[in-house]
Amino acid sequence: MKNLKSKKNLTIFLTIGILFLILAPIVGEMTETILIDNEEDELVDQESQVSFHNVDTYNVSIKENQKITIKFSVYAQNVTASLKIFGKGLFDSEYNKNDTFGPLNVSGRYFLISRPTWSGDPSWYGYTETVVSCVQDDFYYIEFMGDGAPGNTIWNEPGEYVIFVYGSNSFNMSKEVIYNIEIYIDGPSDVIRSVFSSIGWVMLIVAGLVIINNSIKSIRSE
Amino acid sequence: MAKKTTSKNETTKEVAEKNKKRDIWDKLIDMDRRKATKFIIGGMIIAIIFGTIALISDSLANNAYDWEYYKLHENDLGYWRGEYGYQEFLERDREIYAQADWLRFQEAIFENLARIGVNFGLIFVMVGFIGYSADEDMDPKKRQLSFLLAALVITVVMFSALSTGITISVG
Repeated sequence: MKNLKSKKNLTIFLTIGILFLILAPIVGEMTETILIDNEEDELVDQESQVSFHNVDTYNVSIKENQKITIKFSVYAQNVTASLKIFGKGLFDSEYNKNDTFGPLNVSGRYFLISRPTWSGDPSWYGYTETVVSCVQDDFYYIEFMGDGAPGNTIWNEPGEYVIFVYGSNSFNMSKEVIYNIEIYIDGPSDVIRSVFSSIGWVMLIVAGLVIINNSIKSIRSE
Repeated sequence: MAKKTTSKNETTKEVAEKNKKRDIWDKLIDMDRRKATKFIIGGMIIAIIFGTIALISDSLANNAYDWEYYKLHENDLGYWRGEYGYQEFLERDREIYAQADWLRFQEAIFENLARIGVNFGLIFVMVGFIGYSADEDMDPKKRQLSFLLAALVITVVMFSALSTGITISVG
């Protein structure tokens, strides 16, 4: 009876251990990024390029060693949609000042744009900008960590930031600017990977100790 | 060994108990054949387990460069496929370098730990052979051979402790 219980415990430890070790990379990969905003065919008035009061805003909070990923695109005709990122302090003061054409004229923070091209080394196709403007069928893959520099360098500056979109419509009869935006933030994948694999290894070590203990007991009882 | 006699502070019972307790050397020399065999088998198992750990650790370290190149290339593919951006690509690149460094460095930790384990196991084996050689019921030639084997084992232990290791090449 006791032997059966010990075998059952051993099976449980081994199963949980192996299960956690298998799940560690899978769950880790799944939580690599978390979608925090997904807007399709979002409308912003073309007055948005004149006044900060009309822009579309998305507030994000960046922690230490964290980054956000933005997928920004436009499918509509005659539309130019632009995206900038400000620190929350600057955005609030510009919002209060509300200078005419403020969204167009005030410079934002640097972010990184990726253009994966199979014909060349990855480092040739990543560059920083402070603004991106999307026209019909354009797509931008943007990464932002707080700030950056001209070239292809961005770095982490934890804090509160505001992503905002403004635009224009060249068609006389319409003032609508339609765009798509997806915002992802880095998830707790590293922590999850470490916790899952630690639990897995601990379970396997415990199972190993149970096996050794059982062997010693059986040798002694002979 | 001279037996202890009673002193002023010790009772007769205490002295009798002390005489009963033999020191470890006496125990080793007086061990029977069965116990000696157990020592040899146990020591060999310990040495094999730690030796295997050392081999795995060595193999991981030797293959770290191949693993690094494979992961770096895989990272390029991930970026080109658009699975992640350039910053994420850089982060993964740096992590791969650090992990490859760890794979190369772990050999220093695990191989030394394994060496301690192997030596520990070999000491058990040596004690087992000494047990054989001290067994008066055994054939004298076998006792001599056991003693020589014990000496050989301790020589191996000393060499592996004092030099970088003994290599046996088969070819």
